[in-house]
Amino acid sequence: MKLRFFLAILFVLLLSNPLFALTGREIMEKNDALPEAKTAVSDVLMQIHKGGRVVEKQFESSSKKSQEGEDKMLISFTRPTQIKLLTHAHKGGDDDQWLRLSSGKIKRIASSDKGKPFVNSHLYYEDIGSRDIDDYSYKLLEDAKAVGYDCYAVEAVKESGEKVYSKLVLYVRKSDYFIVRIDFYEGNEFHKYLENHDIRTVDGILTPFVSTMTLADNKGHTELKILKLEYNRDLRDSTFNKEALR
Amino acid sequence: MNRYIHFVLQRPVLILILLAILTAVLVPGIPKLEFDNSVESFMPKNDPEYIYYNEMKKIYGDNGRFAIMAVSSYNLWSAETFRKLDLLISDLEEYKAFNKERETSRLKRFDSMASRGEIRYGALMAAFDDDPAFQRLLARKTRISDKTDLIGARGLKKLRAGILRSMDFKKKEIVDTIVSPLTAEDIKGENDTLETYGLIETDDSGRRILPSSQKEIEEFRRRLERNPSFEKGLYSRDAQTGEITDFCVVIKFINLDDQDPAIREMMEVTDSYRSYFTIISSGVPVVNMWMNEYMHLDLFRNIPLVLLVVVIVFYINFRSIRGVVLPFVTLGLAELWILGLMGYIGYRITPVGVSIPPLMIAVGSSYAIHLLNQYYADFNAIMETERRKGLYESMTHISLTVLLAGLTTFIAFMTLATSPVSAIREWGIASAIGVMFAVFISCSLIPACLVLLPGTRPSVLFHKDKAKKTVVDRIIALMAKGAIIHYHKVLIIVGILIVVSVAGMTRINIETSFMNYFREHDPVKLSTNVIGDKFGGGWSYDILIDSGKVDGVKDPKFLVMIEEFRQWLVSDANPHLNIGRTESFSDFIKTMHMAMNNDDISFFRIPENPLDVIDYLEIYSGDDEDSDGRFDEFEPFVDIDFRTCNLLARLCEKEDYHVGTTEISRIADEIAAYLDRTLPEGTSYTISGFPMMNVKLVHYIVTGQMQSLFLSLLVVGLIVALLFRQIKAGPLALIPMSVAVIINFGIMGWLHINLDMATSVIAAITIGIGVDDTIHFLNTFRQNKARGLSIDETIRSTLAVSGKAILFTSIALVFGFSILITSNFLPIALFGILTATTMINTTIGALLILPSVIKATGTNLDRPESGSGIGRYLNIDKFFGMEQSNSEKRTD
Repeated sequence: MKLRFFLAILFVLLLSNPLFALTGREIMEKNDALPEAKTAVSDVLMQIHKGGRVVEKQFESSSKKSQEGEDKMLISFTRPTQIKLLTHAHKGGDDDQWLRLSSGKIKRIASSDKGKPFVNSHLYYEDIGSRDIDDYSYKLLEDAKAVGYDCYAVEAVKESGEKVYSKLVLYVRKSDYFIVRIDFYEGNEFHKYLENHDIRTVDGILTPFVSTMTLADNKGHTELKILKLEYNRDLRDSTFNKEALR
Repeated sequence: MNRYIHFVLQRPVLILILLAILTAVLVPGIPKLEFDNSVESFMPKNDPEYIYYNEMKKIYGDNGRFAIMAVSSYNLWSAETFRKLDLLISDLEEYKAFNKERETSRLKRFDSMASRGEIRYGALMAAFDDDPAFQRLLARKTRISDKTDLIGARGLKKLRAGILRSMDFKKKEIVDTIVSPLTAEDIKGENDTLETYGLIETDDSGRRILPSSQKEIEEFRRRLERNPSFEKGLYSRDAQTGEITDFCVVIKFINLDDQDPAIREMMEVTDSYRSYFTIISSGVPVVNMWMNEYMHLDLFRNIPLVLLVVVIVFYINFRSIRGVVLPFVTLGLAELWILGLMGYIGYRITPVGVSIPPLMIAVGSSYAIHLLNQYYADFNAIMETERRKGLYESMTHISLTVLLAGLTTFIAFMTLATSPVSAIREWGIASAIGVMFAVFISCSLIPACLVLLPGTRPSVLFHKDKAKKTVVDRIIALMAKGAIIHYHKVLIIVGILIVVSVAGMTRINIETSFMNYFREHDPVKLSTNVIGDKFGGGWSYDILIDSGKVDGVKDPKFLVMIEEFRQWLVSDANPHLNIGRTESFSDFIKTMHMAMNNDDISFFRIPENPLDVIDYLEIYSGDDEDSDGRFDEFEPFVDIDFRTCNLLARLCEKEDYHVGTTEISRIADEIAAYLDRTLPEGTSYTISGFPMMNVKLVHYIVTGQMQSLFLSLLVVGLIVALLFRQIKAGPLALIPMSVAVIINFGIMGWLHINLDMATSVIAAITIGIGVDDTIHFLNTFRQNKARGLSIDETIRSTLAVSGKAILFTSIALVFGFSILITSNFLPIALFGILTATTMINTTIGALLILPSVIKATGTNLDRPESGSGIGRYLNIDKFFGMEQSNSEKRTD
């Protein structure tokens, strides 16, 4: 199980050069083994580019790996709204997500809505949360170049829980097994892709400071920029309780 | 002209071959002709309201024009109903998202089957057992006769053409939105869970999971009734029992200038489900489609009947085969040529353009009758001299007059070529060319045939058989007597008639109510009423309310104001507004508010807290296919800045009258007055939408026709003044047409006939016939006067020859067009009545009033006015050889 900060894509793997041909699963295991943080707190600027306009939103993201090995994440918007989204990721099942509105009302997000846009961005609720390595089956595709890096291309198909995407194609950087791009497919169609830029090492953890989710037809994209980041801060478990939302 | 007639008489066979070749070349253009009643063809591109309307459509889509259907069955709440409805919706959805791979494969498979040359219908269907949607398409496109038998090569070719046509529509993805209970989504918040859900869920492959058991059907009914905004939107209830009786299916198209072909394709789909469902359709595209259908079918079904009556009257008049065949062939060829040419150059038959075929009948028969009449008048003289020479003498004189009349009409119609309205422009050019075709054909065909045909003496030779007076002779004698002896009385009566008519004109209502075009129990009218009752109407205003600031629509105060406005629009206290249903962005906010409050119906309202609205919009789960920043569901209702709210207000007929253009304007004025009173400072509004464009469209057609009428009158007056080199000839020439126009409008005013899209096209006929009658009378009058006759003798002899021809033509056309009175479609019937009236009016104008004025004023047209500048500088008459004809000695 991997801790994810806000996009669940930061699979990190120890730097190593494979001597033998790896399978898709093996590549993802190497990614899964990359150093990780126990907790992370970040300020994120979200810029949504739609119809020639840019809408800015800002939120604070706190995440923690729980005792049971499951990830919890709280996203608290600071502008233009005060919505909060709490995610409890579960191994081998659907994540639980709750919304708290500015007025204090709380609603659980139905699993059927996981494929809906999150705060009008190009990200779905499904994208906010972690992806467990065991939830997917993998197939190694031909090597490819992504975001300027030589990568392994691995096809991942979700095997359990609500299936929002028919498949993902993960582009794993050969040099460090860090994922630099993900292609998202809905039905038979290539729908959107996410690219990680400005990848830095913070406290030994590979971290993309800019991530961009772009529609396949290039009609719009959402950019996420980390403004502030702190790993391994002491976060209480109660921060992530549903009741704490009230 | 003289040289041309000489050539025709010398080379008649060549001329006939030439006419045949030209006919063969032009006729294939007729199938290319297209009907068009689109807004586009009537709107000047620079009209500010039209520009706004188009801009609005780019932002919000084409919301005012949609097809709306009430779908019901004997057992609405059954699995079979849902199965059938799903098939119907699925068939319609094929026009919403094009699947190239699937369609190409279908066509390929069909082609491989069709390559056998012939195939049994059953075998063809069996070959597509794995593709039921395509099977249904094949069933729709196959001719009934082919369904029971072998489909031959021709049938397969037609079927393929149908498949391709359908594929073309699919490729264009003509359907923008389908609103139906099977495709609708809702938001619910029960059990503390917020969920967007389709009223009908789908499986992983996107197929709808239909309710099949009674329990599932009940659950579906519960979902449908949960959201109050779905009533009259997705279903309707029986007013007495409160039971749901119908489902609503709305088809909104992408921005199409002409929705007619698209709606025909959609209707073909829905019609194929009528064996199971009772489907009542209405909406702008549907009503327009039927109106086109009725108008064109009725007109073209009746035209042969009109021709038949004209031919019979010709025979009664001339009692000779050639007296019937030659005018008939002339007007027939003129008709074919102009329609063929229009097809080739891409001109369309518009609601104004439908007057072209009757116009060709009118002028074609008139020109031919004048030529034939001259021939019969000169028959003895022709027979006494060498045949060609006699015909030359006879034909040159009359051809010149026909040419003058034709050219005057040509120039009058050509003035419309500068119109900013493309339909009026095309009509002007086509009519002008058509008139010249009629001149050319009559001046070629008739002399050529007369020289080739044996010089058989007609059984009735009107002009020489003094003993046997016909009705026509008696009328002519009466006219002559009236003009020469009782001209004072005639003018007094005309004066009174004009005063009465002018009084009637002030009562004319410029109004087009399309629904009034249909008979009381016509299915189109009944369907529109049913749709109005069940779903609040078949077309809607777009009322745009600008909050004055970005995100202003999200302000609860603004939304509450919108809600109050909506309540006012549909309130029982305001039935005269005729608004049956409104749709607005606030519906989504109300639905969200209810969902966030555990689906408590009391929360189906605008929340007080502004942050709630902002939050609801943040968490609203919808698709944004074009990624313009608005969810697809919001697009008809808000702009991307959330600054302007578009409120859709459906028009129906709450009170027992049909909403026409005057009513649409009145309702808009009343809405404007309400908004002026209630909108806070900083906000503004615009009332737009298809009903408003309809008002504009009708305005442009009616004013266009009226402008063309008056412009043409002016041009005719000027041309005649130039031709006759006398200024007073101009006003004189306008007498028959002006009298006809005034009396026509007077009749319309007194009989409460609206000046509308249909009745205004009468202007064309007035000009076509009026110019002809006038020029013939005046030119013959001048020629007779030049022979030294007195005014009385001149009037008498003019009436005896050209008067007779004018009367022949008029009688034939009056009877012919009177046939249209029997039409089931009101505009056609009115067109028939008014055309017949115009004929009578212009004839009386030319044969009685014009000579009466000449007699009363002692006007001489035999020499130019001294000092006339026109005559000195513009010797147009010389160009046409009129001076030569003046000096000619007539033998009759």
